[in-house]
Amino acid sequence: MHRIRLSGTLRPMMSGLRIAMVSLALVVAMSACASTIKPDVPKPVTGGVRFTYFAPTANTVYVVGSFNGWVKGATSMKREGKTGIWIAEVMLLSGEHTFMYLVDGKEWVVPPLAEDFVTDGFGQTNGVVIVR
Amino acid sequence: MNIPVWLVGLAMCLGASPVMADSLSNQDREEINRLRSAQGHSAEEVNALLEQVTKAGEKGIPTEPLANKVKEGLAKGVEPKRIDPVLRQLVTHFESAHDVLQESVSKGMVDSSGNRQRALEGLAEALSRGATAEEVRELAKTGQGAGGKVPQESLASGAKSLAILKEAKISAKDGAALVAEGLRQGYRSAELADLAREIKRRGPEFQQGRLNVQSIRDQVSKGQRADRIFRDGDHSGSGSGDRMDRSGSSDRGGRDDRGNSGGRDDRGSRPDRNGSGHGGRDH
Repeated sequence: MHRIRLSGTLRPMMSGLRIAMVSLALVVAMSACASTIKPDVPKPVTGGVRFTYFAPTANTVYVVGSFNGWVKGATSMKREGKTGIWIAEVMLLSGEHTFMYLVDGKEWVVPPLAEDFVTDGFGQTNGVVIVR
Repeated sequence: MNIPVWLVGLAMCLGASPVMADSLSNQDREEINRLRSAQGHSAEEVNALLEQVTKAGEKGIPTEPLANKVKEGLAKGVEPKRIDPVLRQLVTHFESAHDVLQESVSKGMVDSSGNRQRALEGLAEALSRGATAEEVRELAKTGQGAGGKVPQESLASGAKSLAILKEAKISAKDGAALVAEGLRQGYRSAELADLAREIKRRGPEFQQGRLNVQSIRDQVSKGQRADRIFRDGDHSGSGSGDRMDRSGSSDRGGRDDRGNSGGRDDRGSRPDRNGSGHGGRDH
């Protein structure tokens, strides 16, 4: 069995290449992870329902709805890195709940994605999250 | 009998009034006052709304959804005088729901066991979304299967499903026939509503004739479960057909709509999950 002996200059090159490949793999893996979080209809996850909302320029986002008595500050969303996506995971009882997003404390936003939508009687539209 | 016992007895008798009055909880009252104060409204402005809720509760209408509507309006910065007509309309829907339910039970078409409040809420929602009281009465009649009476919560879910189908521009006649078939086949409440929502999402396919309600109804009449209909028979070839597949998910399958929480709300609709326009009515 032949063993290839690397020359003195080739060995550091291979080591550098290995590091570069590992780094690339890490970047790919991290982007894959980041891409798993994207705006979607509220989805059941372990420990509740995950709300996701894309608002790259927002300073604060809250999810407000029938499940928290429409109290503005009850359920804050967290910004997911620099993706512009805001996330909140909320424990909800089974049933149907209406909600909207409140951006920067003053702008009520119709959820872009929800299982159903209902008009609220006041000229706006609520999203509906259904917990089965 | 000594006086305290007599007083307790009297209190118990008064508490068990036949209309099962529902009172506004202190928590709801406090939350409404907090929201009112945050919005800078006077107590007088909101008291009229609270009085309306209290009166509705005395008639046996659940106060929680009414209080929720007041909270929602105040939170969104709506003037109390603009909340008033919305609340009145909601109360009217509840009164109609109460009448239809009572009538259907007294005629022996609907089984009064189960959760009356959830049934009332579901029916009120259906009425607010466009089902009519007459259609609900008819559904109570035609939805009776071999097992006899329709459970009141199933009637409510059926009525809501009919309203959703009407939002999907399915004719009331076809929608009612489909829902009645689902009721006769013993569809769970969630199944009926999911089926209606799926049809609504696929509204254009029905309008273009690529899918038709009659074929869905035929499948239901053959005992096909709702979560299989679009998965097995995606007639259009255009949809993934997997949206109805709730059963495969352990946290979704098999539970009845609303479960035990009684989580309820106002309804209207949009035909799509991503909000491309909406129908529905205020509730």
